[in-house]
Amino acid sequence: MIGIRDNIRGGALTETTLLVLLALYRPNHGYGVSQFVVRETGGRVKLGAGTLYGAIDNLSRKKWITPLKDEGYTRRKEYVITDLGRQMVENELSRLNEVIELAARTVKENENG
Amino acid sequence: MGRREFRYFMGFLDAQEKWINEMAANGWRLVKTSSLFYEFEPCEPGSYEYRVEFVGALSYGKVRDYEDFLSGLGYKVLMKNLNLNMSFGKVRWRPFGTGSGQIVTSPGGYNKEILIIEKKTDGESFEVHSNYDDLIAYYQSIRGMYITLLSIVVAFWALRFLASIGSIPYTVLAIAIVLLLIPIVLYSRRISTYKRLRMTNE
Repeated sequence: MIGIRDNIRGGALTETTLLVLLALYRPNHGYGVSQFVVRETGGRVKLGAGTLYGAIDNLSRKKWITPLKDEGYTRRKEYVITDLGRQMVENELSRLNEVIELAARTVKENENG
Repeated sequence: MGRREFRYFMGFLDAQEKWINEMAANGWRLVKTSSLFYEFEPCEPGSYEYRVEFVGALSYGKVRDYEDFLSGLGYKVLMKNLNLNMSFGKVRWRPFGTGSGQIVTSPGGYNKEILIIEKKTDGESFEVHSNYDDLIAYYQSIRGMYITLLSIVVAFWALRFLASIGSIPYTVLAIAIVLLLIPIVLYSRRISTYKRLRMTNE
């Protein structure tokens, strides 16, 4: 289900959402996602535990990620991205490319002005 | 030797967090909580940090799930009560909960409105909520609890004033209203600050 806010923002994903989705191209648990984000952003982004929990819960409800069937009870639930989630990442990637292109062009055109 | 302290914070989460962190800075690690007591054991001063997290709006199952998640991240988690409930025999009403979080009947659900999250100090920052959307939602859930409690006190006032029902003195009601308004104003300010920041940044 896509909420109203997604429309207002023209479909842009939040950075938290995008990073969590990227971390789950390979099956991972919360700790792994957290480590991925710190490592891949060079420490620029560090997700708070509550924020990460909320993001995983929300994405799971939207079916952009799904918990892996685990054998028995484990405290570390593993998740992986779904096809729908991959589609969302690909849409975001083309949107970001458009924005980058526009920004680069605008900055360049005004450099010597 | 351990140490047992009695404290009642009337729902003031920040004061509780500050106090627990001061204890840790002075070499006392929180090891156990009960409804009115905090138990500490000696530790290296400053080796632990704490965050007090309000989870009273969540259902018990969700709180357990969140607790497991936090443990999976390597944090130690203690549960604490808020002592702002209304009990009817075995059923407890938490007016500030959402959905099934409102009624607590299972013994496990009693007294679990607060998670105290412990982290071994490692020089890294320790924030539970790290983006504006999440900070806003979190503080709104706390403010929602105070607003609900305030409405109840105001309802008591109205019953007394209009229908002469109830025997709680007006002064007690007035004090309760003021005490509830303080956190509502403080959290509202915090929420609007983050909303302003969110207009340009994420």
